[in-house]
Amino acid sequence: MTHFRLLAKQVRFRVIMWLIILCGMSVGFAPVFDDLYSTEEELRSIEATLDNPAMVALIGPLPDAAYTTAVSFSHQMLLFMALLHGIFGILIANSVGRKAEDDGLTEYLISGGVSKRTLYVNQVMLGVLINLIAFVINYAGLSLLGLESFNNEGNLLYSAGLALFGMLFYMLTLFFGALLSSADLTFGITLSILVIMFLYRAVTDVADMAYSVISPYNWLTRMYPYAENDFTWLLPFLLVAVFALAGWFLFSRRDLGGAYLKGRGDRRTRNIGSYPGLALRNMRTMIISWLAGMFVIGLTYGSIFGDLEEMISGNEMLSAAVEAGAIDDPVMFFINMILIITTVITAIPAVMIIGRVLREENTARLEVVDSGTLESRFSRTLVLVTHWILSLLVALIGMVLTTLGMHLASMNVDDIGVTLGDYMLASLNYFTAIAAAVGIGVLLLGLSNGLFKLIWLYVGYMFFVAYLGNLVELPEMLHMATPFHYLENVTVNEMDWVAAGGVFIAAVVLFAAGLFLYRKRDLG
Amino acid sequence: MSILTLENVSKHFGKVRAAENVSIDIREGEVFGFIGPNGAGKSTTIRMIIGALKETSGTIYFKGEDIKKSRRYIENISYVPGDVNLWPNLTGMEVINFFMKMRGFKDVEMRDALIEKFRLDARKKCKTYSKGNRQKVALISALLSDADLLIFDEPTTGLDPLMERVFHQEILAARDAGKSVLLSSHILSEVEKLADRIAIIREGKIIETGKLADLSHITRIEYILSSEDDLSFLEGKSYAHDFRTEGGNTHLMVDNDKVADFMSDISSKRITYLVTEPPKLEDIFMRYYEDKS
Ligand SMILES: Nc1ncnc2c1ncn2[C@@H]1O[C@H](COP(=O)(O)OP(=O)(O)O)[C@@H](O)[C@H]1O
Ligand SMILES: [Mg+2]
Repeated sequence: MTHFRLLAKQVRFRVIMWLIILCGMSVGFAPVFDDLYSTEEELRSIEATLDNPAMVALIGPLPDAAYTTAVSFSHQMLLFMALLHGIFGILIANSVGRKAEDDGLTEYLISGGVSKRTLYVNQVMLGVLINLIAFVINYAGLSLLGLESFNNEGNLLYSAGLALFGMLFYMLTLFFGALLSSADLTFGITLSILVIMFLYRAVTDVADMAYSVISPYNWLTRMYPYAENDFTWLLPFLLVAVFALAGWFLFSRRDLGGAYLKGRGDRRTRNIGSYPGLALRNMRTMIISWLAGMFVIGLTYGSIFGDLEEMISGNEMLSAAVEAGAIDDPVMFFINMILIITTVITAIPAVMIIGRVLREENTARLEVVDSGTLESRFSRTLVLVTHWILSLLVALIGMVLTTLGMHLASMNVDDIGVTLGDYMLASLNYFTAIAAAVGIGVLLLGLSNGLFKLIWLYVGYMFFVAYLGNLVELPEMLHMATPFHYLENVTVNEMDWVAAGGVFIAAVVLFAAGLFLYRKRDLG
Repeated sequence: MSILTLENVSKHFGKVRAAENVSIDIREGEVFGFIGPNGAGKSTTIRMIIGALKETSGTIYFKGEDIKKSRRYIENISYVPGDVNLWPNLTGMEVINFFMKMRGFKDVEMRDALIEKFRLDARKKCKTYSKGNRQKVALISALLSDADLLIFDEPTTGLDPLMERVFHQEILAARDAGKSVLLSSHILSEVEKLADRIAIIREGKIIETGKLADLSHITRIEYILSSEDDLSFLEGKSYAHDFRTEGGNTHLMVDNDKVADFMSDISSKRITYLVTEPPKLEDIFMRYYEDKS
């Protein structure tokens, strides 16, 4: 088997899942938009809703052109989808690149006669191929739908922009993989760049879009698919080639497993005397990067709270809703919506920590450590409980840091009326939603090794309902399948302790069921 | 006394019958060889013993106790898998120390002696280790334990011959210290040197169990000889198989239980060259199936 086919086979399942989700969202939502925003009136109303700093920060600036259905689609979807395409690029590149190297797979291939050049070229080609497929599916899908106002140039730009964006972060990851000393570090840095670029443009899009141009997200914005269709903003994506070449420059000149920049590499032998200690040590970098990221997200959102007032008075729909009594306090309403979105983001590291149990299982380390070890010091129960507690701690601390960031960044804004205490209550409230997602994850993991992956679909689903549920009206049914449906919207309303307690108890029950199954099932 | 007994243990993965009515019995203080080609069901059987897989049917007893009764039995088994994975960001020493801590084993001198014997650079991170080095870390960790039963699944696949010898010495030392050892392999000659008794598994079923010497009725050794006299008469003998001449040498396989006949037949000839090849697993299977049919 050629090396390229080996690579492709290695990531096949993940790539297909991602492509289904990514392209499914782009192509699947186009008709939804066509449905929801077809009349002039509906379009005017959504345009007005989105024309405020908070929404600009969240989804990008409004184009300076007629707000057609297609323009609305690309405006609301493009940056959010870019974020997902970026994660896709990072994950796949890291797993065929630095992670394969960390795991010794690369060394194995090289000892098997695959040259470094072939190896790297194939990694690059894989990135080109998977993003090309994303482009083709999106472009073909949007074209075949043949919706009104979705013109060909727009379809082309929308699909090409996202594919190039994914490719950019793919190559960036290969580059950092060659530069840095581990897959965890590479993932931490590239994901930070992806998120920070998003947050950066959130701030500058509101303040002055001229500064946003440093961020690749802004290149997508400036294409204005379906409006101006400015193809020149595809050009900056030539950086794809630059990072691919720079990555090769670094990779070809260093030892396998080597690095130019090391994480904190101390040579002292640490004494790790328990499984929790080991788990913490293995996930340390990941946990810290996520928590820091959550704090930054909180700060970023908090920094736009000052503009919320202004936008509400200038927004017909909101003002109307306020007058009609549907929304008591629009500022609170937005803050709450942002809280829900950050909750789902915090669920990602929490679920990842649970998923790490499978890494111990799949590498057979779990069964090796289990044998010959005192049951009180190591057992499947201990492993799962350790990851569960860590996961919940990270979820809770992540929520607290996010809301603390919001509080700190918006302290100077007078009329917000959310106290630190309210933020902490909200953190606790929404923490139970993460606990529920984690509980479902543990249940899936207890059922079988392979089923666990489905939890990512669920988290994606929660994100989708939380994010779009606020922009687009979704059927009640869809909301009922997420924990948010049951929790009170804290900051808008008083905390419902019974609801939060109920969700948490459900979370614990799900965990207990998962643990029960996990203790009995076959490993790996 | 038996330390480990498997009674009609089966494991089915859907339609795949990875192990089928496997019965083996490992006695205290013996080295037990578990031999079979790739995919025969060795790892599956071992993973049922250590509780990673749940048997479809049958019972496993450790020191006479059904292992389903209590998970505590696992505290007395040390296990090294065929393909060792370690935590990439830990050094070899950190891994070995971790295992010692987890097992409550405190003999640091023994640790250092083993690291020395296996010539392991324990200061390096595990992600920089080759397969052989990862194997060494796991073997050292397994030997640093008070467990009564040591299980090694194809332990020497990544080791060079020198290290293989060190490993063999350690196995024998463990046995002399009263421990029992289960050693799986697809190479007969490897186990033959160490094992007091062996079981041969193929397609999930045990086809023979016993002392290797007692298994001479199913083993065959290859002889390579040359002589100034004509040896072609050997071709007609019932104990001779696969007779051929190659590069002036005569090759033939001789049934182990008929070696005496063979020797007396060639004693009158002027033999100028004689080499034997150890029995190979494939040859055993050849003879086993020839005998059956
Ligand atoms: N988890 C599993 N799921 C399905 N089939 C398996 C699994 N593990 C092993 N097998 C199958 O069981 C058979 C025996 O495998 P194994 O015990 O690994 O053999 P050996 O260790 O002797 O090489 C093989 O056909 C293998 O494909
Ligand atoms: Mg095996």
